[in-house]
Amino acid sequence: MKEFIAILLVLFSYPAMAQYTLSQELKFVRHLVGQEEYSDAVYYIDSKFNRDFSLPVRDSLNYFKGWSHYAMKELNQSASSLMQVSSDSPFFYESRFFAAYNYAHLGIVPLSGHILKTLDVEGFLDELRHFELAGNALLERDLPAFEANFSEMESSQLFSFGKEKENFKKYYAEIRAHKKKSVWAGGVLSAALPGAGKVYAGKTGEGIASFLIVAASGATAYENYKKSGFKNAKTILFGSLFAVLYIGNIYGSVFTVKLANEEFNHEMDHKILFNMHIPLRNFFN
Amino acid sequence: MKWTIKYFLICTFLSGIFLTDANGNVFRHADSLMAAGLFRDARIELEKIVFFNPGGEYHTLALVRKAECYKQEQDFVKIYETLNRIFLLNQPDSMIFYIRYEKALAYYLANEPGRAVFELQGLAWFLSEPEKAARIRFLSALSYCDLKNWAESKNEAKQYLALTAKDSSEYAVYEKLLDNLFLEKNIPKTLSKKTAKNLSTFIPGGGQFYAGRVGEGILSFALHGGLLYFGVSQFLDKFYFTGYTAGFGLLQRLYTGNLQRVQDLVGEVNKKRYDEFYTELYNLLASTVTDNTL
Repeated sequence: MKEFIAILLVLFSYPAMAQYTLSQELKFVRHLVGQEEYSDAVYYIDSKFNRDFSLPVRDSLNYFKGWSHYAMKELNQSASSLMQVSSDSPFFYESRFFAAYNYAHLGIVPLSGHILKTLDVEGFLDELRHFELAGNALLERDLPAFEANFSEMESSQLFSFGKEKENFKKYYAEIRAHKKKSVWAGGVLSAALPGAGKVYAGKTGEGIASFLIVAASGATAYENYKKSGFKNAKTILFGSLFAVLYIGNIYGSVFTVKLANEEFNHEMDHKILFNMHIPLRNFFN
Repeated sequence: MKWTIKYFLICTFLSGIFLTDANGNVFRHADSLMAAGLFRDARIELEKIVFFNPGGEYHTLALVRKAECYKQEQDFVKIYETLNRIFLLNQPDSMIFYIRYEKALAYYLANEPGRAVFELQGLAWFLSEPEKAARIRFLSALSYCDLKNWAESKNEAKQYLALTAKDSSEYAVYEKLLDNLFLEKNIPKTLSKKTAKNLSTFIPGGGQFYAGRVGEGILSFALHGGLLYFGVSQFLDKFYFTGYTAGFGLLQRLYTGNLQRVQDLVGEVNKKRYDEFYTELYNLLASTVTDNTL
């Protein structure tokens, strides 16, 4: 019943909806985006512009929708909308660059690369394209591809990525120098000397703490074994505790090494993406 | 704040904007959407009116209605953000009261009582009008209570009751109840986390006693004592490592954990005490609310 009344009320007031021209409606959508009412902007576009419009109108709507999704960090939907902006639109290049960036951020770097490579641009835009491609190469740890793209824009005077260029060079050197740590080595080291695997993973404090705990529990078990014998309840209790801590520490060391590798990759990806993003904002805003 | 109280505040202070439909067709569509409960669509429609009528009367009324939509959606931050877009200097007194009062209510519901009090203080010149004064005093009493300014809260509550009691005898009853509620012994005492921590530092379990959790205090004391005894006895039996690790090692862990626990406990107790006091004050004030008062 409630839905029926709602429909009646909306139908009754339909003439009020028809008072705005299409151009006004588009200006209003831009206003919503400008007011940072992104969720409402997407909702409005989806609900009010659901019939077929001319290409320029569709381009504008897809651009605003993509931008709103981007602002709400809905990168997949953002990329999808931005990719629908046609090459006739003044928003075309911006849309393509941001769609590529969204895909890179989502981890779909090959698709991002494909979008950028198929862009027909020259001048500053071409330099920006190579810069983004260099960023993608760093994300994929493809150092030759980075060198190739970076050399294409290294001499660029474009103010938008002066500092970021230097950062990319630094990250390139860090990735090159970085040696992936072996989880096996971490486990073996901790089996030989409790905590050594964690020190190997770069967590010295954790390693020392682990050593002290395992050593203290081992000493306790040994003390009870020496003084009360093997079958004594305390020996069994502290012996079991030592065994659990010893094995747990080996497993923990393996995990810590794995985590340390992931941490490096995660932090590096974050820094690369951040530096890919800044020139885009500088250039298109 | 309990959800029932929040809901009551939202409903009780529903504005009268639906009653003053002197704006012809402009708002018909938006109003119909609001009436149908389609607040998001209504908000967008109202924003459109704002956009195409910059600075005029419709601009203000549309923003007021938009804030009303946010109120129904319980987005309190958006309410005051929307109302803050209205330029107050051009507005008639009734509209200024409405906007600032709604902002105060939104601030209060968004857990920003300091800003609510600031808005309410800006409405001082409306205190000569009993109906508006009652609203201001009601919300002021609750806001000051949230700020733990008991004297101001009591003062505002008393003035609210004076405005809403039917006659002097009813007021006398309310005044007595209010005086009783604000007696020194009933005002929630804020326990100090530092004191609780210091007590537990010297006597494990002391912090729990201070917070009124006697059982937990005894248990904590017994556990600390037990581990200390175990550690010492192992040492005396020449089980030095066992005494050190299983006795004192565990004792140290328990001890430091307990220091953190008592501070969390004091936070919980303070909140519970305040909530109980707030609910009593709220119930007392709300018991005088009729359709005419607010």
